[in-house]
Amino acid sequence: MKVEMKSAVRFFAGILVWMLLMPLFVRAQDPVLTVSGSTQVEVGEQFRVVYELNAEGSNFVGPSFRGFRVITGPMVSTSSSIQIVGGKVERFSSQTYTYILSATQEGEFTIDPASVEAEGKTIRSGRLTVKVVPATGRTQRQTSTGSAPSGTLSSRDLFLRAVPDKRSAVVGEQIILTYRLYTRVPLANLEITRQSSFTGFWNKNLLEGNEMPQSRQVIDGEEYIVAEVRKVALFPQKTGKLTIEPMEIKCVAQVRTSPSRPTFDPFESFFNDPFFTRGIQNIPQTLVSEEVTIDISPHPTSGRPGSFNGAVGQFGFSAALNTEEIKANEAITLTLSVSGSGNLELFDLPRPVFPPGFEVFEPKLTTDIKTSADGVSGTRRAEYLVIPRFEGNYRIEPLEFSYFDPRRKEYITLRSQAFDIRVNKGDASESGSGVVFSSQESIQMLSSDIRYIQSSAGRLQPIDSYFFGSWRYILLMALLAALFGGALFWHYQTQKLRQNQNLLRNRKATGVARKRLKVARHLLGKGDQNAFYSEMSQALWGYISDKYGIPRAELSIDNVKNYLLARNAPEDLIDQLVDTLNLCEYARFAPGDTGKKMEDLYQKGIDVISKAENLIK
Amino acid sequence: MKRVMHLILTLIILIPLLATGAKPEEHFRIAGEQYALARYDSALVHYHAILDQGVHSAALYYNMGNAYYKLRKYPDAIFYYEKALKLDPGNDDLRHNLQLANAMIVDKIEPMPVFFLKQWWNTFYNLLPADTWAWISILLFGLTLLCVWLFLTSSRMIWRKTGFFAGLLMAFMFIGSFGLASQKYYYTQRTNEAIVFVPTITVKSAPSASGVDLFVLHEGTKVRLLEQSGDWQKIRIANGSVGWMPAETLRGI
Repeated sequence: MKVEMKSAVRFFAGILVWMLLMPLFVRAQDPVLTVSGSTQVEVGEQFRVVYELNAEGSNFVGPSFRGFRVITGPMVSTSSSIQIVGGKVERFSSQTYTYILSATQEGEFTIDPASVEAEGKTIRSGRLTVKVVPATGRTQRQTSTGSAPSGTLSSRDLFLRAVPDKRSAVVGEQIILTYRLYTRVPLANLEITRQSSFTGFWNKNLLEGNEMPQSRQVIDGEEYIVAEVRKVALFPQKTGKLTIEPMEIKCVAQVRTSPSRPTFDPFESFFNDPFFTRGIQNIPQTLVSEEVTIDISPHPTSGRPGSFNGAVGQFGFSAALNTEEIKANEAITLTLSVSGSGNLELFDLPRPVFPPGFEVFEPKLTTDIKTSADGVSGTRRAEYLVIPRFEGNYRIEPLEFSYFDPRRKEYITLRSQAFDIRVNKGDASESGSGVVFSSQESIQMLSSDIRYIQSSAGRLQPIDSYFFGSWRYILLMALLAALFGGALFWHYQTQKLRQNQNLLRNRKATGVARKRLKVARHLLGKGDQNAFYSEMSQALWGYISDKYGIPRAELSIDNVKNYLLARNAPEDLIDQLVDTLNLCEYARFAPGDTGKKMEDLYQKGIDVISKAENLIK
Repeated sequence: MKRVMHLILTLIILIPLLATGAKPEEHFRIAGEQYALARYDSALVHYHAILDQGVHSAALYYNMGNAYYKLRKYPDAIFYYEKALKLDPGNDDLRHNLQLANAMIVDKIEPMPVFFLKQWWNTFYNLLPADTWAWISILLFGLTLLCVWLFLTSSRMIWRKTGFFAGLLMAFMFIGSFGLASQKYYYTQRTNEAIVFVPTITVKSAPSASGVDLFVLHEGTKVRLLEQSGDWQKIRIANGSVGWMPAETLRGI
């Protein structure tokens, strides 16, 4: 029970605390513009007036600051933060507008409200009343005199200046900015209370630690001691008008008080030296330099080389190879170095292109920068370790390094030499790790490009001339068709002619056969065997050929048989014909009475022919 | 400035050549030498001089495309490669270079899927230029007639049969090649494709400036021309989208 009570109490207490804190986080407050600043200053003192807005504002309108001299302002700075409380995201942003003023005359002055627009409303600040008292400073206890004599200090005695060595530059060009403190009075307790921030610049300090070179300078007949409080090399990183905020120094000026009464003490002047605090007044001072605006232009585009990558200054460039002849799988080193003065740390060294087949390791980069009163100089090196894997002769093309010389206002391109490397056969046993590199490897595509132009123009033809549908095409087609037609015509003509001839022959066949038979008959009478047989066979063959339109070349017993069969000639006729033809061939060699045989053959021939005649008709 | 000087110098060198009306082959040779020296603009001056004489060839357009590619004028390069492709569709180097040039332009359009038969037809049709198809059709016509002749005049059965069937086949092939030749001829003769020649252009839904903006094309993109209405051209891009754009922003292939 008790335990429960305790935990409940704790729980509620927690809630209570939470509720108290809640408004801080969850609700964004209404925007308020508050003003703060010193309420009492001395004449000649520099002091700040700060307007703070707890939101993001715009269109800030400052007051007129009557009775004061505005040294600089309004300097705007914005800060924002994001908090996540209990899953809620809260953005807080605030803006401050700072003025640095210097009081010029005694009296009470009221600084009017400033106004700013935030969240759609115009917000006004409160008033600020400043009391300006005569410049006395906190006087040290005087030992000799009871009264506090006052020394005076005007702004001509002591001031701070920011001096750039140029007011316009290109991106990356070195600008040396020196803050000089001019004084005619001894100073003590020098303390830099606000450093300039160099937005848009890359900067490098040129003075070591607490070094403050001093010199004497005469301005308007007055001698000053000049101390270089700060010296920086600035390298602009963007174009446009870049503003450098002022620097602020607090110090104590030791002013001699003029004696309030004449002393006739002869030792007075003797003792009156700074080592004795008598007659010395310490006046705290705040010194502010002015704002510096520098006009930054981009690099000129005309004549800008392709290898230019932002180096501005004066440089030299070299490349060196430790050896030009080597065995495969051994290492060589290519060293590139750029030395000179300028924005050395703000550009990349050119990257060499090694032949394919070289194993390249990440380069070792070393930077050696020296700062002096004249600015930044030094050397940057890149050492490439490469191992050629295959023997052969290789070439590393010359490397280019370009920079812009702001003095000569032009680009300068430096070229290294080309290197020819001879790689000899490596010892396979020497590959330390025991890895033997096989000489075979798959082809690597290095890059792609279009294929090369064709060397011959091919057939140049008139534009808009096409073979298809042209008269030539139609002509060719027509020619082919005509050729075909002609050939066909010729073929049919000859066929017709041949048919006619056959018909004629057919008609004449019997006549011809009769004539031949007559001759045969005559020969039979004479008993001339050979002549008779040949005449008989001629008569028979000729008759068949003419009658049935069989070309003479195709005449043979088999052919005739087939032909007649195709013509549906009766079997007995065919047999008879074949018999007779055979007889023609063999009868003369057969035994028996020659006269009788001839007679028989003659009869048979006449028979066959007359039979065939009847059949065809 | 330097380039202008260069061009002027080239012109000074050229003027005697042009005045004498040098042979196209001579221009071609000189252009090749200039190209080898990486003086692509002067090579182009010579190539254009050949075109001005009213003759062309696939190799000429191909080389011009290469020169423009080297000058990083990708729309021009694509334009001339496409012109070359019309004359010599089967050239492997040409297709390779066109592919590279197309990879250099802004628009990457996924083409519509094509029915496989049409794909085959296209492949077949792109095998040879129109004139070659025309020659093939003539050859096939001759062969067809030869087969018919065989069929008609042979007394032997086997020859007649061979003639008949071969003739039928040849006739089909002839009709096919004739069709291809005529298709290809009309395609080559008419400009039905164009290249966009302005850096960016908005394609509208109607042939007027008040039309709805449909999509934006960039230079170097190939479009198919559909119809024209006044100064406006109806186009279709590879993914099938259709719209209207001002005709003067296009150059017909």
